[in-house]
Amino acid sequence: MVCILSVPALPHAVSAQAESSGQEVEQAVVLIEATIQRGDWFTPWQRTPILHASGSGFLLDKGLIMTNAHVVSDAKQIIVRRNGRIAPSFARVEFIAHDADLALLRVDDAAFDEGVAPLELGPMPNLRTRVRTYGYPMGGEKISRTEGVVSRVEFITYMHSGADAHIGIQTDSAINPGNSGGPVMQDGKVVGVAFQTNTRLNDVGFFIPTPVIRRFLEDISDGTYDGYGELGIITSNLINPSYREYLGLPPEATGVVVDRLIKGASAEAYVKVNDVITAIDGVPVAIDGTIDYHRYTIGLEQIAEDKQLGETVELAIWRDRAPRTIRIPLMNYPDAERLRFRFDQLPRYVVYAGLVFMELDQEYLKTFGNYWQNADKALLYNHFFRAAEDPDFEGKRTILISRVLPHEVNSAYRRYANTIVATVNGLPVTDLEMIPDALKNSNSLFLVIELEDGRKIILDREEAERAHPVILDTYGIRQDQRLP
Amino acid sequence: MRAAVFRAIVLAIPACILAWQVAEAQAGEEFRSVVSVRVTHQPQDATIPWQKTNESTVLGNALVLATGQLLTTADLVKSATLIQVRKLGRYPDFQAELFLVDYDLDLALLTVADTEFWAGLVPIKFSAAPITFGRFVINRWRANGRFEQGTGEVVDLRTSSSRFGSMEIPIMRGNTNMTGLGWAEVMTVNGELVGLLTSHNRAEIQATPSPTLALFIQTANKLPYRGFAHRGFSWQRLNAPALREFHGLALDAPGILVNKVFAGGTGAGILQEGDILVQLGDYVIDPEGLISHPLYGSVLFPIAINDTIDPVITARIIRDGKPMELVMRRQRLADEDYRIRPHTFDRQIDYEVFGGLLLQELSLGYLKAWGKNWAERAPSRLVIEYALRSIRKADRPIEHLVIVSKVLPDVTNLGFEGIGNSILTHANGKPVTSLAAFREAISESVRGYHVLKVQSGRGQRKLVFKADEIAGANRRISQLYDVPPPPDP
Repeated sequence: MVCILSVPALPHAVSAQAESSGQEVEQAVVLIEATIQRGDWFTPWQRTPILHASGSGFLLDKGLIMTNAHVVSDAKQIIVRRNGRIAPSFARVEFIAHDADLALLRVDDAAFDEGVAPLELGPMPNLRTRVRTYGYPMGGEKISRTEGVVSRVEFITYMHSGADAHIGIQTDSAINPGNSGGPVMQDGKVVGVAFQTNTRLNDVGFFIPTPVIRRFLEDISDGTYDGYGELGIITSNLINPSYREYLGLPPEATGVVVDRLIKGASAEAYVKVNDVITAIDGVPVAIDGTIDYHRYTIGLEQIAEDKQLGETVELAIWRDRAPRTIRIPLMNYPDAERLRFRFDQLPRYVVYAGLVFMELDQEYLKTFGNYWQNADKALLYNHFFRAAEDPDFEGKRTILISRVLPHEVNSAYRRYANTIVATVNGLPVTDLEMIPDALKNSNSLFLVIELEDGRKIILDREEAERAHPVILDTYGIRQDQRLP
Repeated sequence: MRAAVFRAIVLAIPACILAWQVAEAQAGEEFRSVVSVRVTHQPQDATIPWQKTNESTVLGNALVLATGQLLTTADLVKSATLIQVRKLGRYPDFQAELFLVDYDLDLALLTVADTEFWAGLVPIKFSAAPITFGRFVINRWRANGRFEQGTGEVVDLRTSSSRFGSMEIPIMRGNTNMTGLGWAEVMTVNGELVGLLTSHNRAEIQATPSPTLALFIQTANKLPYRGFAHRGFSWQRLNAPALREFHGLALDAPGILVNKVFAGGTGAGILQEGDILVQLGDYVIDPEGLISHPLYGSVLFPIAINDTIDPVITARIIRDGKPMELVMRRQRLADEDYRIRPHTFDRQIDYEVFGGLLLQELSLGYLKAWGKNWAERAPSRLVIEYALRSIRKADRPIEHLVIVSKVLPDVTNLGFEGIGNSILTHANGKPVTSLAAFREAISESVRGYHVLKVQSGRGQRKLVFKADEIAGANRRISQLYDVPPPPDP
């Protein structure tokens, strides 16, 4: 793969270039038009209508365009246009990081960027310094440039995945729909990628800073994107002097106390509840959990953020009234997937006798629309709170009956949509994959599904078997399951 | 035991009132049977429980009864500081007293000691049968002293949860073009009472039908007041042929499936999960849970529990394939049957300020402090807890969920500022099942510290206070924030 060679060479290659002038920057900023079709989490065997969306991007290397993941997610076709160049070129996604909202596109048309200098990555900008944002807001054909200052640097939720938080920079440089993926420039270098706004604030936009971009480029240097390691440590501040004294900490000690360890995440085997983390990779941790980072004060997680999977994080901890040092290899945390919006994948489901089984995840909750907090409270509890409160539940999946497709065989259960499944034929339900086998796991005349709320769904096995293909045909379902 | 969830205030009824006998009102004389009620109320502030909210006054209605009482809604008289009634739209106002208020039913009885009040008033005839559809007249007094009559139409009568509780009663639903209703307006047909209006939203109204009103009056005047009963279990329809066959029922056999049994209510301690409930009293329950009621027609069975004032009701069930007859005591949900109380009107809200943490038992009233859209705006973890676990299940110990509602900032709680609206689970290693249990748990510290655990949403979090500093901190915080001692339990 070409990028394996070209991407690691980027920082060196671009650093040799002169700082880009305003005109050169504009040459390197592209309009991206994507044709998008997503999976439908409400009717999981179907797709959503085809949509057209536009965003921005910039040339990072010959034939390579950087943009946001959300500009090209679920794209069926991607067209890129350079400022002032009418002819469109086709692009394809080479790498995409949904958790960091970044993507690299490949343009095979050699003429596309002929004579255009790629943009160079710069450092983290300082607070209150000026930045310029380039892009194509609202998809206009002419490039737009706005200016503002860096007003805040902090950990923020990246709204594309909805579950990942990384360092983000706030600016009052106007960032509007269509600006996404465009470069934020300072002193002729890219200091970030414009990506989101906060509609509750006036004239505020956010961009992804270069440490996140560089980590992405380093991650893909082996040809695959692996994502972030998750320490999985939930901590409380130790601002309270009584709490510090209770833990037996020396008066001068700083750090935060561990409240909970997320099952299956990196730290579970190494750290204990009530440990006090006093330093990370030699950087002292303050009593509010922050560290000094590139002249900014930011959460201690940032040290792990900068690392790749397999690298280690060194924690200095205070345990049983004595200091010690532990090294934690960073691992991926698969359970985080259920908390993220899903892209470039289709919903998994099992349909049997008109009962639609799905896994409860962020995408499914989104089917309730803008008022998803009004969804069934048992679903909300299982999705957002139960893992943190019930150690036996942590890491388990919630399987629900999302819909009942009415037929004579199931019509009595038509109100049982959005109910959580506890057992199928006596087998406790732990994931969606087990449902097809569990449905067959009975010699009895009946198929017995027990719901978490105590209700039961009982189907006559033979009638259900007969009805199943009829229901698939009636409701236009070509496959009765998708379990990749 | 703490106060029960209903409040019964029994006053001495003057002999002259008991002897008060007049003929019933004729059609066209409804203005003699309805009086205006002006109520000033001032509920406790659920979020600052040692304070009261600003007082407000509302004008509603009450119905003249042959018992020498006035019937109105509990909603109208909740947390009342002054109740005044006026007859025939004319001065003077007479002071009324609460005889009994039942928030589960949203009904209240008032008395007026001044015999002068009753002159010229006549009780209205109760319609023996409610209307399940069709037109009715709405009778009410306006603030300008004019009697107003409008019309509406009943479109439905169904078994529905009462306004402030989880009890199921018959509720009439309908519509009208009149505005500003919902304050105990009186519904009549041909001059006879058919219902009392309890709520109004846009053009839609809800009302309690006359038979339920009559039963309430009868029950209320038979002291001690027992109230209406709760079913005390959750249930499932048995309307799927396979489901019926699985439970050994013939296709045409009646009955519904009992799922979870609550700690209190009529079925508590008698019914079991998996029972098939076939008949309640005289009513056979069909597989959809419907009974054929002589007044209401086809309605869900829970209202059969409150069809009479008998203290017991007979249930026919099938348990493990065998038919059985059980005698169940008709009982409402008591205070200890709720993990989260549905209402806390007319009572001091208990609280504790400990190290600046404001602790109180979660109630629906607390959640409703977030306003009309409280279900969306109140802290979601607490809303979920109310929705899923407000009534105690039979296998759970008595518990009233305690929350840290807010933190009154002080040096002693530095670093704990963000834990408002979290659930307090433990104090000094002991589970916190009520404010009383919390007080017991902190009566002794552990190795010089008080250690509390709260459920923060991201997991359990500890809060630590030095035992030898807590008393001083509590005094300092109480002074700073002007917090009086909590009310006597």
